Amino acid sequence: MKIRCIAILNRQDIPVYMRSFDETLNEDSAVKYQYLAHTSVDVIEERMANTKSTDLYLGLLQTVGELAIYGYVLNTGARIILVISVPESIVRSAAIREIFQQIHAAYIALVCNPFNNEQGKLVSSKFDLIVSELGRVHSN
Amino acid sequence: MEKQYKTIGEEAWKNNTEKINAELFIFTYGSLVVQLVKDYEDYTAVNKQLDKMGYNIGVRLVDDMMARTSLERCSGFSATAEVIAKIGFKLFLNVVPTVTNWSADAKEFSLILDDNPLNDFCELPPKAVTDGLWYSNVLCGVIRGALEMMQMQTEVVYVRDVLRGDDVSEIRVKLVRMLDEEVPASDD
Repeated sequence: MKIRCIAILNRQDIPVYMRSFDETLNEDSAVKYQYLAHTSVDVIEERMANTKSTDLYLGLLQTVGELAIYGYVLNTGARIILVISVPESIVRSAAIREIFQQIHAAYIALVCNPFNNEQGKLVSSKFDLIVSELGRVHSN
Repeated sequence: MEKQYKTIGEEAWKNNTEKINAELFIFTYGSLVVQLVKDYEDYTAVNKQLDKMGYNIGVRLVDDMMARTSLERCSGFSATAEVIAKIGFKLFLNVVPTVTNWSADAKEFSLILDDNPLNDFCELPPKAVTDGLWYSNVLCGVIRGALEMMQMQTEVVYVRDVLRGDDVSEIRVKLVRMLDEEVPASDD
């Protein structure tokens, strides 16, 4: 399983953080992931309207070609999107859930930073480090 | 003598202090610093304000500390250093910095803080780092104010800070002179 992209959108569905782990970094891949994040938002809204459970983990949202997209909402309404390349073996949802929980914990640390700018993009070297580490660990 | 200070500090922390939620305290201090940065827009001025605020806190805090711990007069400046580290910091922040780097004339020392609770969750923007913001500069003011109430005029500055990329935080305390009985100048 290889993590391809981690994106965070805020309540108003504006992307505040986008990080892709492609080897070939070019314009296309950035746009592609933004597009994927936006299409996933519709699925998220639908899931959240239908289900009554308060589980933060939304599970598999959609598959596009060889990519699988998972979603997770935070209590404040922000959404985390995880794009992975579909592996040969089955991916356990527990593993994905754990990745989301790590991102959530890092996000909380980032939000608690008094110098954080609420409206703009999330800029934080510590958060970048954690996300890079996650990407590296799961790139086998 | 050292062991005694340590136990006094721990006893006082356990029994004579009311605790508050750490996150509340950290966030309050964080928004204070951010607001100062927005108001002054000059990091040196912010450092100075934090030091002034710390001074005003320190002159009052030392009476509080004395009331809780009923200490006797310190035998010398090195005893004072130990009291600041093992009792003062322990009582109010629940951390104990190490006292090191004594100068040859025993008038200067360093407090090394491995872990400063005020720094939790905080990341300085790059401009703050280059322009020299000392985030926890209030601590320097507190030490200076407290010592002035104890009839010692000191200069207290930050020399290293983990938020700026150093491995530890270091505060340097320098004794300028002992004060005779006189009313300390108030900072307005």
